[in-house]
Amino acid sequence: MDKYLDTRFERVEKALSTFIDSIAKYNPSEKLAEDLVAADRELAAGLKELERHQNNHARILQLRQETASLDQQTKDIIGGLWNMRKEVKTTPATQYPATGPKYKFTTHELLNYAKRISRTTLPPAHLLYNGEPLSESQQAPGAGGGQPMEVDSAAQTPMPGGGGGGGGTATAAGTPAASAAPTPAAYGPSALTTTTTAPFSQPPPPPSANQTALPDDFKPHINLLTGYQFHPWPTEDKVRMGGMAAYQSLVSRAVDPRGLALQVA
Amino acid sequence: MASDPMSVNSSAREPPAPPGSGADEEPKYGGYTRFELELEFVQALGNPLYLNHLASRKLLSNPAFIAYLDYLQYWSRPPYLKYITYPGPTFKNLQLLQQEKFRQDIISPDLVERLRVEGMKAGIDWHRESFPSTA
Repeated sequence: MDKYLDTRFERVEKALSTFIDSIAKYNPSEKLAEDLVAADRELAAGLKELERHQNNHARILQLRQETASLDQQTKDIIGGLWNMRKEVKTTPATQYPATGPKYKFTTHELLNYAKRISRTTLPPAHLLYNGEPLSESQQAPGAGGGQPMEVDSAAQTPMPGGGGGGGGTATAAGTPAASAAPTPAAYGPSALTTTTTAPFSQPPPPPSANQTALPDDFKPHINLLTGYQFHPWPTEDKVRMGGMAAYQSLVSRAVDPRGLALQVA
Repeated sequence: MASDPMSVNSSAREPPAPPGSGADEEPKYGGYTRFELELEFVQALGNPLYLNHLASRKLLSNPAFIAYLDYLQYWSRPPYLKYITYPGPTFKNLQLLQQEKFRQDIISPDLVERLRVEGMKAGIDWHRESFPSTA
């Protein structure tokens, strides 16, 4: 580029100097003037070329920069991918324990089972969505407290009054009859009259100045589920209604329950 | 005492037959078959307060009782599995009871309370994890 311009400049200079010489010699010649003009024009063109050249040059530089940065980016990405691949490969997969014997079941059975346990494993809707059970200081009887067991619920015997004594478990340990000891304090009261436990307690709303608020006494009548706490296990009252309690009552009366039919106490 | 499922007189070392098969041969104890009684008992084990009650009666240190707990694990397999209506806490506690340390620790009321509270909370939270939160 430089040489290109240099030649143009030289031509201009030469033409100019020739022209000046000729003028100095009082020999103005039109041709020389025209030469000068032409040279000047060419110079201008050359300068335009120069401008174009420089623009291109700048653009080339810019493009080079861009490609360099993009190359760098690509390299980074590939490096990152490689690292990730390494990590993924080295992450140990969860080792599921070798499954035991497999049992077949039908979806029919499965659905029936799900229906059956839904009452005991799914809390009522208000607990599920509110997040905290409506906790009051008493525990109202659970909604429709049915038997937890699959056994015939008609076999419910009314809880033997006090004779049940201990947990009604027929065990060989010691003598079940002798364990007509007083109901253990730990088991009885804490199951039934649970005062609100720490994580769940909402203190009952302070008596508002609003006179139209429902008095707390009415709440259990309106909403039978007031204070209901959901347990995923059978509560004491259910246990006491079951067969073990009946067995215990028979044993405590020194009756051998073996072979006996259902006793309606 | 009267022969009962746990007594050494009991000749049965096998799980009782589930209802619907050979039900006539099983003697009924006060109207309940051995199957029903054992089902009741194993599910009652899901209640931590009941476990504390058992521990306070020194039952959990009785080797015969411990062997019985081990035997009760047949409830975790079919065809008995489908009779359990409180599956979660029942099996968890049954498993825990197989460990000596748990049997010793359960006598403490603090542990019982924690189990109770966490069990109740888990009973609700377990469902909510898969629910889109609507609250």
